[in-house]
Amino acid sequence: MRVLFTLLISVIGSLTLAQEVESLIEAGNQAYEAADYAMAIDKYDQADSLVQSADLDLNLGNAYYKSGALGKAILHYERAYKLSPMDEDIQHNLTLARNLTLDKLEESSSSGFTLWWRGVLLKIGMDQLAWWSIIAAVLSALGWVLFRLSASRARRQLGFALGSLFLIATVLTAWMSLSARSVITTQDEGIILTSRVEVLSAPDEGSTELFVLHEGSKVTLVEERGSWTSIALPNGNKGWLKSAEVEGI
Amino acid sequence: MARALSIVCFLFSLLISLAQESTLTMSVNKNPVPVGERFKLTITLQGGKGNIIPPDFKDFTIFAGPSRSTQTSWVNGVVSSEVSHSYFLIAEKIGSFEISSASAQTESGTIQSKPLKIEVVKNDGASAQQGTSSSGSQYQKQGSGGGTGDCIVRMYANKSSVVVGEPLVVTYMLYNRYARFDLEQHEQLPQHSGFWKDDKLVESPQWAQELERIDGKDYRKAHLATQVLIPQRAGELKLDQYTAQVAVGNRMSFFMNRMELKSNVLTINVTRPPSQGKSANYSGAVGDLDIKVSASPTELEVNEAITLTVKISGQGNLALINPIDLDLPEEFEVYDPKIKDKISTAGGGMSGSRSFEYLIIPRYPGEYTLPQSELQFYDYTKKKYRSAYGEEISISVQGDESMVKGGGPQVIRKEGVSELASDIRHIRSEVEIDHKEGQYFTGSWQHWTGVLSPFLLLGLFLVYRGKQDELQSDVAGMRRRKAGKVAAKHLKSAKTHLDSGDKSSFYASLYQAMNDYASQKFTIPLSEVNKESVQQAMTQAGLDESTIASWRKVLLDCEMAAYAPSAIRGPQELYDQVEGLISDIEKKL
Repeated sequence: MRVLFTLLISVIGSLTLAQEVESLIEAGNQAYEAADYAMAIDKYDQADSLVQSADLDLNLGNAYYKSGALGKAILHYERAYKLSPMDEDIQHNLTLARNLTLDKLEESSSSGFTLWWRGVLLKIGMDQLAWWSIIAAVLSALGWVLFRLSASRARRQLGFALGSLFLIATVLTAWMSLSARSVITTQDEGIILTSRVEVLSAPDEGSTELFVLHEGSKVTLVEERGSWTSIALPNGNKGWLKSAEVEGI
Repeated sequence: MARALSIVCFLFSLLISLAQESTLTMSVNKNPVPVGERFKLTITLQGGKGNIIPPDFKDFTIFAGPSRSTQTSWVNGVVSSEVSHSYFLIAEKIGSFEISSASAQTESGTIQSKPLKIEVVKNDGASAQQGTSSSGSQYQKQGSGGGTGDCIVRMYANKSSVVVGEPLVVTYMLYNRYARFDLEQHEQLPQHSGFWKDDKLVESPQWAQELERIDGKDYRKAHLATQVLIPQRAGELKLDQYTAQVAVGNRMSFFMNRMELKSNVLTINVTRPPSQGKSANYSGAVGDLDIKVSASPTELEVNEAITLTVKISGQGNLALINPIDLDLPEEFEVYDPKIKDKISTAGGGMSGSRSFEYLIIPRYPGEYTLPQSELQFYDYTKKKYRSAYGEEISISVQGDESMVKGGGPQVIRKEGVSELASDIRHIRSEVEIDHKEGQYFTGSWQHWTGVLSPFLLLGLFLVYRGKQDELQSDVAGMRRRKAGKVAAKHLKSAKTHLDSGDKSSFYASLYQAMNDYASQKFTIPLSEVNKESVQQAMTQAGLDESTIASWRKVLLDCEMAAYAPSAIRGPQELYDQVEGLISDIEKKL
């Protein structure tokens, strides 16, 4: 993750920002160690608004967990898990926090292949894939140059093969990087943040109360309209709640 | 005479022997018998031992028995023994029935009793059944005769027509004319099927002060028991007969006479409460009731306990009231209620209160409101359904949410998301969600530049290479194409000089024409054009030796003509040769 972090910083291209983020995280860590979780959350949040990092999300989740905000804790654990699905610490914290939720919901019904593919994408990392696509593009171009310049037939064939192969590789890796990005940026799931939410049948205070959800429950976000969000549960139940009561992962 | 005497002696001895021989008798304690009532049949074997074989009581049902008893007595030095088997039978049908004879196997053979005729008559249920001594019992002989109707038990109900659930009170009274009286069995009141009952036995019944006159006779009376009955189902429900075991005797008699007293039979007409006006959650409460709901404490911390008391009071079937439905929030853990009754059955019904105490533990902080609880009941005096309402209760549960999940032992309750109601899905409008661009390298312009620039450079490279190639091939071609024209121009100027007779200028321009042509044609810079370079270029271009040699010869001639114009061939001839050579080269290349 360090690689991603420095990469992000270099992409943002600001050394001062990097220093600011580092000092914020440092301050947050100190506050956390001193059990001043409110301060830790404040510092981490500032850093979180500047950069994205699984480690930072894990820290933030922990700070919320310790201060008793189960919903926020699960939200950040989920975000961390999204960024780094193979991290054992994140998995553990997330499982623990989930066990404290009141609602017993089925796990989301993604197929095995979808989950595996997501895992692969996230494990390689979207920026890693982006770099690969650039390297493949360069190699492909060199292949074509070889093809164009060579007088000998064998070299021309080699150049053609390399050019084609790396062109396919470029397209594939670029597509994968975009898929990974979409997986990370698409907020199609959310966590309930308030202790008790009555889910209504329509985006209107007066509509029928369909069911009740509690803090920390994971829901699928269907659509947002005004200050209302439509959510769905794994069992197919759908309803509306105030957007402030749920936050996308 | 001797013969007569012998006959008398024989008869006497026969008589003696008869007296000593076994006899088998069969008797009943009443005849005629009312249908459906128990009566006692006794088979007695007198004298000797034996096995009594009962007859087939095919028209009757055996209620109890046989109970066996033996008695041995010593009278005037003679031992006599008696064995009796008693059956309690019930007559099922009205009519005249015969019980076939019983038999007994004794030492002296099998003996038989006489068959018995029994009249079964209609049961006059309303009148009190009067106990009579059984004819076969030994008590009867000792008693001094029980007059009919001198001892009576009766059941009185305060209502004869009720609805299901409406309590009624049955009073058990004893009437007696005997001087000596002993109530022997008085523990059990009948189990009336179809009723819930609550018995109140009078511990030691006392004779009342006043006498009761029945059918012109005065009786002493005593209150034996009170029973509160709540009918559980509708229909004509018959109350079981009450039976009391008593012993009676006259003032003068020494022995008491045992009797079984049977009460009258009561029928209660039970109707169902009307279905009209009944709500869905009616739970069967009947009477005139009120409900009070209270909770304490109403402000507390998470995981502390609340006692919620639902008190139902008034008159009615209190003892049968079930807990009402409490609409409690799902965050509350509720335990089964503890039931506390303060119910009195005095005063012709059931009154008092029944309390349900619920232990509730809120597992999550928040402000909760317990809605009004409704108790619907059927008021049988007003003959309609009524409802009583409990108070709305607000409960404030304080607490840190960390208490819900943080340390310490606690129950983590997992519950499915229960649906409270169902409604149509809301209309859908076409809303596209586009994601904000984050600060990602992937998909950024840098990324796309990185991917696309190699191809862009490749493209540029290819274009450059192509252009260069084209340029090279074009310059040569153009020159080649131009060469003929250039030559033609020079030749034209040479021709002009020839016509005007300026021979030296003619040779100079002819020489010029050849060198220019060669330079353009073979792409040789003009400064480098000489005989050798042109010859080399021509060889490379693949021209034949004769052409090259002619070219050389013409060039030499032009050079020489500049110095000695008369020494060489005529100018017209030279001009034609150059023209021919150029067109030849043009054709070949």
